[in-house]
Amino acid sequence: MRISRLATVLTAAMASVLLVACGSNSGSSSSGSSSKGVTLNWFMWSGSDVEKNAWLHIADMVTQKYPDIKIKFETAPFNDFWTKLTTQAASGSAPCVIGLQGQRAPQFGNLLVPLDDYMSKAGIKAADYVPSITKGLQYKGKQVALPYDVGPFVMFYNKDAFKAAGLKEPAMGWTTDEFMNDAKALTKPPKYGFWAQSDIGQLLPWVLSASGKSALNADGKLDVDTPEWHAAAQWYTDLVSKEKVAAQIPSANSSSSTANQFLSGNAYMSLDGPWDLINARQQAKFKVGIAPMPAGASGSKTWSDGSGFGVTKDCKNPDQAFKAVSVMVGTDAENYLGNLGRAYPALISTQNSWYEGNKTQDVKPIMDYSLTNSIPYTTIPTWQQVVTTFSKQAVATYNGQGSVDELLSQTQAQGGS
Amino acid sequence: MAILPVDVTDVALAEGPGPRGRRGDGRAAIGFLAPSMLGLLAFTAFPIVASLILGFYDWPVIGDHVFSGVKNYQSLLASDEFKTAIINTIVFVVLYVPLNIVISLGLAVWISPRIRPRGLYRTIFFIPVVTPVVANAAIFSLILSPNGLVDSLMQTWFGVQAPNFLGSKTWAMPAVVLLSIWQGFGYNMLVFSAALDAVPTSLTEAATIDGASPAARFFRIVLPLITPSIFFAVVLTLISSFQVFTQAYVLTGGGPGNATTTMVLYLYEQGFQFFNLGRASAIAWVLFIIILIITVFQFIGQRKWVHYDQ
Repeated sequence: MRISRLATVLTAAMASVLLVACGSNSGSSSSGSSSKGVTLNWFMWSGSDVEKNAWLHIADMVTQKYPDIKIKFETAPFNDFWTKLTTQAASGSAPCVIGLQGQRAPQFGNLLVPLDDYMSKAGIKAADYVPSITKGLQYKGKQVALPYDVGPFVMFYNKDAFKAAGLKEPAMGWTTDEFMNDAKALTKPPKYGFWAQSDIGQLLPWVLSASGKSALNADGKLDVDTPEWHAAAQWYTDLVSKEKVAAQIPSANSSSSTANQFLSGNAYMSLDGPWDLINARQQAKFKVGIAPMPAGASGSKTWSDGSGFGVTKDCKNPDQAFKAVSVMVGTDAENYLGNLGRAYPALISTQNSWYEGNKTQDVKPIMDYSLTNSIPYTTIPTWQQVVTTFSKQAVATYNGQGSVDELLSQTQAQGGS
Repeated sequence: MAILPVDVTDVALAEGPGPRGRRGDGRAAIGFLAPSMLGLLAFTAFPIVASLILGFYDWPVIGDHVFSGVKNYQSLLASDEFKTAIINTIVFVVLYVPLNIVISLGLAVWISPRIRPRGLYRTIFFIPVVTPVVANAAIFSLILSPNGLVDSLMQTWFGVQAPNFLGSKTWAMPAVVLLSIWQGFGYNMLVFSAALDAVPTSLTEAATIDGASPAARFFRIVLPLITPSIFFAVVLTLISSFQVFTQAYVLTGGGPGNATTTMVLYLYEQGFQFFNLGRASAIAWVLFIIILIITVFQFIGQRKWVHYDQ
């Protein structure tokens, strides 16, 4: 009697498990090898179908070169990407090949296989790539991902607005004082000279140009509660609260302020990366120019960041996965991405594709200059805490409802031990 | 039509030929119940137990899990951010729950008696409830942002700029409350509307004949009769408002500063942005205990003001 009741329960349990299994068959069968070759899972962020299709094309390029390697492409929007990657890694089922952003390397570097040996065997030289991003994609001195794009943070400006105000366009060698004068001349509320934003990456170039200090000290520890950061953060706050050459920050949530104030013509200057330039020139109803960071006491300094692809330690076929990565950051793929305007190639020999494919030859001197004067966007493992805390408090501080002391001491507290 | 297993076995007991029949039906009941019981075990009971255990560990998503005793709870109770989150949550509850009840009850009363297309109004008022919060929040942020609808209208009409609602410590929480009311009043309105329909007209008519004013009829007769529904709505609204997350997350991201960081938003930050699952679990249990205590007090207090007999 007992046994038969147990059997009933078990049967019911089995049935419901099977039913559940029918519902989702997507998660199964990750990287498995068969006689025909291997299928590798490749996880990469993308924000639109256009981007996704570009990556799918790259996946085809891998299979064309190595017919035994098939790529199963998985994607998620940029912000969700990191959450999903973390949970997958926690359950030991991270995809074989993943996208990695330089500033996230300290956070995710230990998930990835060091590639140095693979690179020397395959004859891939790190020196062929832009040094700041190859360095940015290192973890504990090892190359954990190979870069496909890179970009220095530069000043985007509205050419039409400068012309209308009778101002000289910003050029190489312009200074922070000239920036301030231009911003004042351009500001006529509700239109502003500059678009201030609460992200810490927006403040960093000003700190670098004023003092040469980054967010980390020489030991790689967070170090933002310093006189240099105080001075720069106060200056930036004054742009909004005192000089009023920038509008108030609308909200701490980036997604609700996706309405780009620069593109919509409400602000005439904005710091941004060249990865947004092609899109900006297509969308904006005015001519978009770029200039280097205005030079402060320490010169014109900025940060550069980029992304690349690495092989996870969970991958069962790391050899094939590295082959796939070598195609993804190889000459053909880089030329393709550069031409599309999807990436400013990290592979130096292919950078012309970005200028020629997108008619951006005019900005080449500025790109070269800014890249030379940039440092990698180095971070710490708890960087996400730093970014979130800074961004929330910066809204209050910039809008005049909090002090720079609060902003920097709260941020410094996220530095960990 | 739901047949409870108890009914089935009772019938079997009465009519069946003794214990055999009873056992047979019980087995069938277990079989039918198994899928939902398994779901409850896997997706509710297991996570509850797991989060209780996690709360006593230092549990990063990636890396070693170390037993840390009550350290998570100690550091939480000592944390200023967590205190701010609790205060923010209480401010939200105090602003939101009474406003929600008054507005939804007011609307229910308004569309109740003689309004012609009542079904239509009910449907219209219910639409915000079935609209995704994120969509509502996106619209609200368009309305409330600088150069948004409110700002533009104020500039055109009065020539002054509207406050920067979502970026101001003063206005951010009221904006979150406003969005929550928009999102939530329809559900309670429907509950109250149904309760009002159940009030016997004979009672109100009798009162009218006795010369009771409309206000007296409402406060002395109708309101006491629908107190069970009000109690139901208050309990559910209170619990859900302690768990407020999406509105603040989408509208203000918890800022400016920590002005709109509620307990669940703080939990989300700790657990899913900073990946500190032990601390996040501890927050969940503190929240659970707060909600439990308040709900118990509500059930004790209801004897004083809820009338179940007609």
